[in-house]
Amino acid sequence: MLLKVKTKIANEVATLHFDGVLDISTVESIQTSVNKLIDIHEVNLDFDKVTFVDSTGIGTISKILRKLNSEGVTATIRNIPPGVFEVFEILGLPEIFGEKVFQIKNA
Amino acid sequence: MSEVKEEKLLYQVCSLLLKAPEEPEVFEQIAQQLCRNLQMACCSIWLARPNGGVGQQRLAFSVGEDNLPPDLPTLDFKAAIQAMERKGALNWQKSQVNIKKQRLLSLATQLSSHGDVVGAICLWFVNRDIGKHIVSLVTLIAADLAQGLHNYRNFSGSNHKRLSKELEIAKQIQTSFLPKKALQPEGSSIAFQSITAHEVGGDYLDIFQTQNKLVGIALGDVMGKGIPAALWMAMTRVTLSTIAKSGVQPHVVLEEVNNTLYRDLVERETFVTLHYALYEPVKKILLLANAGHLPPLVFHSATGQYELLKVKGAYIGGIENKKYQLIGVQLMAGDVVLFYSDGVTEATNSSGEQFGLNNIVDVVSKNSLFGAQQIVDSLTIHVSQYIGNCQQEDDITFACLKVG
Repeated sequence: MLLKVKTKIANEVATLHFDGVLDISTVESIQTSVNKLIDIHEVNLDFDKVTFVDSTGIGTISKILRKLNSEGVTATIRNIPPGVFEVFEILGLPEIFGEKVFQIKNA
Repeated sequence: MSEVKEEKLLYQVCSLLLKAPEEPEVFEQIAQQLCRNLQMACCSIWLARPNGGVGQQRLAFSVGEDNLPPDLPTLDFKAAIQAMERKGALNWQKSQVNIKKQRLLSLATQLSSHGDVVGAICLWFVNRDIGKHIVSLVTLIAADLAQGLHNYRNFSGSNHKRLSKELEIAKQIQTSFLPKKALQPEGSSIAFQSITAHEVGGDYLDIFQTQNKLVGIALGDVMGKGIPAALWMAMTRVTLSTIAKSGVQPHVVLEEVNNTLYRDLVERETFVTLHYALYEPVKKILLLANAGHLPPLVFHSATGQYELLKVKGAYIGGIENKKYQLIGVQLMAGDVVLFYSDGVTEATNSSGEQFGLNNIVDVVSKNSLFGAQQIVDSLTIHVSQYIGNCQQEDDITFACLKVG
């Protein structure tokens, strides 16, 4: 299982495109990609091609959102496939980090 | 010492380390080789134990000359400790001691691998100077030795056996946390299954009778797997059972569990999903609160339909002082309630497909006329067959309540 990460930065806004699964074997790469960002005031995590997120993946997303929030960086997760969003909802992520942070993919 | 001899010595050290990296005798043989080839009075190799154990361990102590001072082992110990405490790998420290007309020169350095101090090597010479070529040669040897010590410390037989034994005991302790025998409330039946992916797991299941004669059913899942998850699972179990035994309502139990564990979970950047249900067997009422866990499934035998008991609520460790919702469900005789962890729905077959909710519903509906134990056995068989020869990636836990 793999996760590809592509980072695009423009005007202090970073967009990270993820492609693959976010589980215990791939969480390092999402963490590393976010840690690399410097002088950014907005981060968009694009989950368009994320097919599966396990509990370690959820833990990493929570960790990243907490860190970005504490640094005053605006963070959103976009294009979340409905199946993945359902997992986020069950776990209560929108309740913890705010409904606006999580944007479901349009059908 | 000629270049050929030096290369031969390097080769011997490397081949010894490769041949039997888990055997402590290898280090004794290396010390002997060094003593003999470099005409040393003594050579010692030390293993650092930063993660526990008593002090440092002298793996090898080889003597190349007679009539050495009797307190050499003590001097050697001091040199090794100093080397291990000093910063910087392969930073040779020379020192001299004069004992009874003997001039004792020592050369010691710390050995590090992957950023960790793994040990030290001490070389002792009597009445002779240490040439630069010796330092450069032992530097090369020390680099190999550091890797060898790293492998020995992490993968040696004794270490491996000890860890295996500790894990086995941890597994026994965790297994003892499971309900000894599921309670059989009046007219109804309860059964469960728990299969960890590793020796120990992060799924949590408890079924007990509260002081007001209700049945408490708790099922949770700690983020991650293995030993760290097992530690959190044990903490969750103690916290929940302490609060819930008196028969407090489920949403209050989850609030108290969250309040108790919140700070520790946030600090360690982890979380627990958990639902807790109280079943009243006479009136057949199920009360439920949920903290981020998958919704239990209810199969209504009268209609042949199923529903998911969805109750919103952030996971334990998500929101400080979180207030949880409570729902109540009126069950009927013949209904089946299944509590499960994501290890069941996400069990994966050789094609990479997940078992999913539909398969669970299928098994439950086909076996709904049977008792809880038969339903659990059937689901266990179906999930096991589905996984087949693939590796079980996550802990699998489920509990079934068959309303009588």
